[in-house]
Amino acid sequence: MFKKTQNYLLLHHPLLWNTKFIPVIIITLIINILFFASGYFTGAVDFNNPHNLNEYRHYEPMVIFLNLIIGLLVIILWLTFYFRNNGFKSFYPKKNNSLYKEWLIILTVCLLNFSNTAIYEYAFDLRARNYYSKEEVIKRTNLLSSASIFVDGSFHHWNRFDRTQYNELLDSLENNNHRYEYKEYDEEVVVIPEIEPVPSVYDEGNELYNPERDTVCYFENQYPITSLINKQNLKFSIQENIHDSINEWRVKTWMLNREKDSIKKLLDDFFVLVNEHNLKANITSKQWFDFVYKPNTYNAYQIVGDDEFNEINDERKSRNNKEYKTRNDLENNRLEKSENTPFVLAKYYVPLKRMENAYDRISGAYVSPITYKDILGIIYFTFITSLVIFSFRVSSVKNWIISIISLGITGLISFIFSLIITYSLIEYHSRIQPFTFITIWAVILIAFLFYFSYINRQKTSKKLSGIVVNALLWILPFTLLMVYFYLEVYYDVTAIRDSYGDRVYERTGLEKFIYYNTTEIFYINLAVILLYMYPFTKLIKKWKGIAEA
Amino acid sequence: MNEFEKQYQEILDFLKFEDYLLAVKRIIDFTLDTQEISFYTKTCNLLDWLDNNPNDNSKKEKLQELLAELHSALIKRPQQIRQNILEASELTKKYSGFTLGPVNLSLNEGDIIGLVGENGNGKTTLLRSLCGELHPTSGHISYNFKHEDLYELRTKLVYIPQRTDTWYGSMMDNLLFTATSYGFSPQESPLVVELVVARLGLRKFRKHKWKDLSSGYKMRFELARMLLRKPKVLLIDEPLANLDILAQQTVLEDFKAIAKSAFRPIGIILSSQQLYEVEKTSDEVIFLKQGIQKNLKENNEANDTEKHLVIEFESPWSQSKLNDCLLSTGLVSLQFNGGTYIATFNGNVTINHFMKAVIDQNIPVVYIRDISNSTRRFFVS
Repeated sequence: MFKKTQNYLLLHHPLLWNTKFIPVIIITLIINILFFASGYFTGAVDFNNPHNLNEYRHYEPMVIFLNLIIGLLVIILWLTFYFRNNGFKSFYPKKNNSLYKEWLIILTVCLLNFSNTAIYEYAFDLRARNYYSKEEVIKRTNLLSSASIFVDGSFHHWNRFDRTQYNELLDSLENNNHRYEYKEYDEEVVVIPEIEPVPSVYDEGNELYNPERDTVCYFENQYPITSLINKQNLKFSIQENIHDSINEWRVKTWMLNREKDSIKKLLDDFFVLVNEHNLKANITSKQWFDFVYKPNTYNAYQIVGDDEFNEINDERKSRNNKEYKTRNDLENNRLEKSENTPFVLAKYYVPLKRMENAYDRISGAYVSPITYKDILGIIYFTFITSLVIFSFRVSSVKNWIISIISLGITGLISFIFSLIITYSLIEYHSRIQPFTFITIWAVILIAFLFYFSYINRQKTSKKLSGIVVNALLWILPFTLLMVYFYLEVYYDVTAIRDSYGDRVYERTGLEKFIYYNTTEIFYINLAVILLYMYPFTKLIKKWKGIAEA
Repeated sequence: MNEFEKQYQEILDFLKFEDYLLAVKRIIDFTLDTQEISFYTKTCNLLDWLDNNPNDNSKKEKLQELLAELHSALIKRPQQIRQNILEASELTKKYSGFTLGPVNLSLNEGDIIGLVGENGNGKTTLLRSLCGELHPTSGHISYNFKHEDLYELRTKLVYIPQRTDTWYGSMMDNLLFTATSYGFSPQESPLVVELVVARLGLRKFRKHKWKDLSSGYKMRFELARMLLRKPKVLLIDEPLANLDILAQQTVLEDFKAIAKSAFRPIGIILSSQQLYEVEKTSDEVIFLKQGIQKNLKENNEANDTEKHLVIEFESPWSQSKLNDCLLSTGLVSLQFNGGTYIATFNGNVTINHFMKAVIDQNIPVVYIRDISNSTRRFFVS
């Protein structure tokens, strides 16, 4: 079957046969599928994971390493077959677009072989997203976020919380009257009115107790800072900026209004989720309610841990007591012994931490999946690799090696030269060094372009153009980026600034575009490479016919 | 009788004298001349049959039958008028310490030009200049066939260097790749490759690897590839260098047949140290000495008035003894040239006079050759 296919290609599509495109693409796609499958497999969400693993792409370094090794192995193996026949070097007839097609084939092979990390990460997130729809995840994270007020966690630490301001803020959120503004990356953000801090009346003479610091005012009532009314709630990245505050506000309104049923229902709903994920709590929903529903000041509550293994530090006891130790606090903790080593466990707990970890992963998969911005580096690496391989194909081994060495040395010299220039100037400017370096290369690029066109016009002998054509293949891709750099420098230098060095005007037009669209410019550059390579490969074909010496 | 009829008669003679090897080769040439898949298939089938039935008595009959069919198909076709395809005038190429030329040469379709000369005298430089690999320092080369650009020109000028590149992968795949690259259709390619392989006596070696082939067979595979490239001009550097005497003659005969095809003639320029073999095959011989061109014909014409008989011979006798014996026959000079003597006689002496003197004076001779019209003269003078 394989031989038949190859034979068919040899007779009907010699370029595809010569580039061994079909076998390498089959192998590559199999590897792509394996990476996808392993991403999907390892992307399973563990709802029973008590550890705080926020870097949910913890397999990434290994995947990148494997991608690099496997990708390079496949490409090297492919090249040993691909380099076997070179019709171009033997002056076999070629259509004008033949070299361009050949480069596209090389590019495709490189692109697919070096994109395994991206494929893996896509599958990793896809698996997480496949558990629940986005709406469902938001609903569930809202539930967890709301219920988290009744579980061990942090308190707000603002100086004072003014009831009026708080209500104004939340009313405005509810009525959708809040003001929007667009920030730099066009991300929609809600501007929360700044809360004027109440002047601190800190009594320096009494360190142990200070009502200004240790109490908080909610709805004109004073509460201890360790009151559940001052609890922070969990936040998930999938929740819109203001949503977690709404959850908090809603629950706290229930608490203030003593809406027992609403609170009960919240805790019951939490337990539905616990049961769905087959998780374990050592209290019931009713016990939990009894522990936390202390409507007087919401300070006489029994702390419920977020996981069996997370010991509880009772701030009510520990705030002013340096002797406090969790292992002695048997109201909130219990001691267990394992191989004669005691360890501290929460006395009462619900499995919030495990669900937090799981839903945090799912939220991340929705909020920050792999995007075109993340794979820009891979794509550039791929383009450059494909051009290096292509240059080897169209040039002689000797010229190719000379090109690498001479460009390497030129790079080093130009870098050192640009450093010398930078530090020999009286006034230091951070842009001088890259400016000098890039200018040297811009001059080299222009000189090479002139030399190459001169050789093509003269049609006598190639002279040094064998080296120049390699250099052009490797430097030309950076032309647009050089222009981008110069524009940036231009706008930077010509900007009108105030006495603090800040711009006194908004960026507009091209300046605004290049400032806010760096990634897009890099992608536009890739499109430019794809475009200019067509005429350039045609020119290379014509150049090939010129006498060697 | 035109070229085609002449070649047809030759094949009939080969069959008459049961020289099947030569007959098959020439039948393959005719088959390729037809450029028809039906004939390709017929000849390929016959080749398979011959492989399976090497001693079958109906061999001759089958070959005759196919030849007749080819004859009737080709006789109707117009033969190609042989035109000039390459002209080099005052061509020079300067290196540090060496200058080739000025060289003037003209190559017609169907012609073979032999390039002879000692090592380091510019044969390879001339070939590389003619194939477009080197740009002349001065002078001009004109290629009288259509080409869009220099790349296309070089697709039509096939240069086979003395040391050929290694072929990787299967021999047949390499040849098929060449055939399809040069525009043979998917149906034609496998058949044409089979025919070319058989034409150069490589059927047994189809499945060999490059490293397992002798230098001679490597050169033949290069020639097979060359045939598939449909060259206008073929430039070969020392094709006989790695071949035994028999193979040299076979290859030169092949060149002659390929070049002089009635329908697809090509111009060939080959360099070699095998003077006599090259002289037999070539339409013109160019001798290069320290880069300077000496044409045998031109030199003969130029010196026609003082034409001499030049004999190269080998004898155990001493130079002075031989000199004494041959003086009366019109000897002008006698040189000892490392094993052989070069005797130059005045214009009216013929080889028969020389031989008569040898017999009359009982001179022991083990080797004798008239080199009056050979470039050998340039080597020994």
